[in-house]
Amino acid sequence: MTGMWAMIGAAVLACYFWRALGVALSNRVDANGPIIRWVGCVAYAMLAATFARIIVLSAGVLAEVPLDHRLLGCIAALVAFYALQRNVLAGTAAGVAVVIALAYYGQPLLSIKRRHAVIPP
Amino acid sequence: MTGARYGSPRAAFAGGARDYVRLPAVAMAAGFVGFGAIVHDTGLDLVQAMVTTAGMTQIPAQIVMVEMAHTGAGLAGVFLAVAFIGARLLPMAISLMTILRPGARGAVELYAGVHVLATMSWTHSMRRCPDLPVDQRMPYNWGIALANWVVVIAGTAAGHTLAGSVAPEILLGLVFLMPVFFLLLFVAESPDRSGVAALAFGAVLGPAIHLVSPEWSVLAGGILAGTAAFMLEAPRR
Repeated sequence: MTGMWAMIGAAVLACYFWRALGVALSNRVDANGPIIRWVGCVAYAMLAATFARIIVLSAGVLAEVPLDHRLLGCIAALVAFYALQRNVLAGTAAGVAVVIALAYYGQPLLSIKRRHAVIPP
Repeated sequence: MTGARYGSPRAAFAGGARDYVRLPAVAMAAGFVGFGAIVHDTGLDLVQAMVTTAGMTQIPAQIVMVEMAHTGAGLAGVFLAVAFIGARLLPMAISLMTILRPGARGAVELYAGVHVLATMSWTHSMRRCPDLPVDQRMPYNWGIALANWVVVIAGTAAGHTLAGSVAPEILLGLVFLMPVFFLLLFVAESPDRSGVAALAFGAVLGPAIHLVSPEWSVLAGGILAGTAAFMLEAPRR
């Protein structure tokens, strides 16, 4: 995994670049110019692209849950979020609870494979 | 959390750390526990997971980095994507360092202090530090930011360790928690409609491009969707 260490190094540098630039520019600029707003939009879109991909086209353990169960979890999260005055924690809890409940009780309908259960010998 | 001042810079440091413990730090730690669990699933080892958190302290950017590496994106692509996402640190750093600068012991302390800046401690330091005497601001921020830094690194380690030993349904919950929590958080914190539009466009374009070309889904999807959202909102200003 030497490639992974290079990725981590690049990512740490990319973050520190903005931190250091922030120190250099502090006391000098307004942080709300159009370029910063455009970068903010691209950042939001990249984040949504990644997180939506994790949910819809899952890999790893999420891939073993049927798509409709993942989407039901998302719907539950959104409903709780908007019903409870845009409460992020309530929305997340509802979504996770639905997915876990479906994994437990929906056993005959879906096929959660047990190979991720690493039980110590 | 009151408006009280401290007797000394040392007391301000302790006060910052105490204020962190009183914050909903659990929520923050839970996020990093989720990160630890998700990267265990993606193939990072414990040390890599902890170094990632210690070096970035920005879960969304961390997840994007790990996911891109996993889907075969190149080094330059990962750097560019993290640079875009990490850009949210710039306005945070500018605003907080403007407040801390007068009391800092030279540039070295500013450049070291900015490394542990994280959303959670930033919000609080921004509210608290302007009321403190200048020589107490930096110590206060060190107290709260270092407390946060230590907790999130420990949370990452805990998540990574737990992921190997919990029931599959619990692991599933931890891994599912991450994308749902952040998508809701971004909707909640987005300052205007362009942010929500960027989220919606990105959520559709990202997976769509992923079907054709996994390694470009984040970069191309993000730039296209983000630019479209920005242009929708721009003429109205």
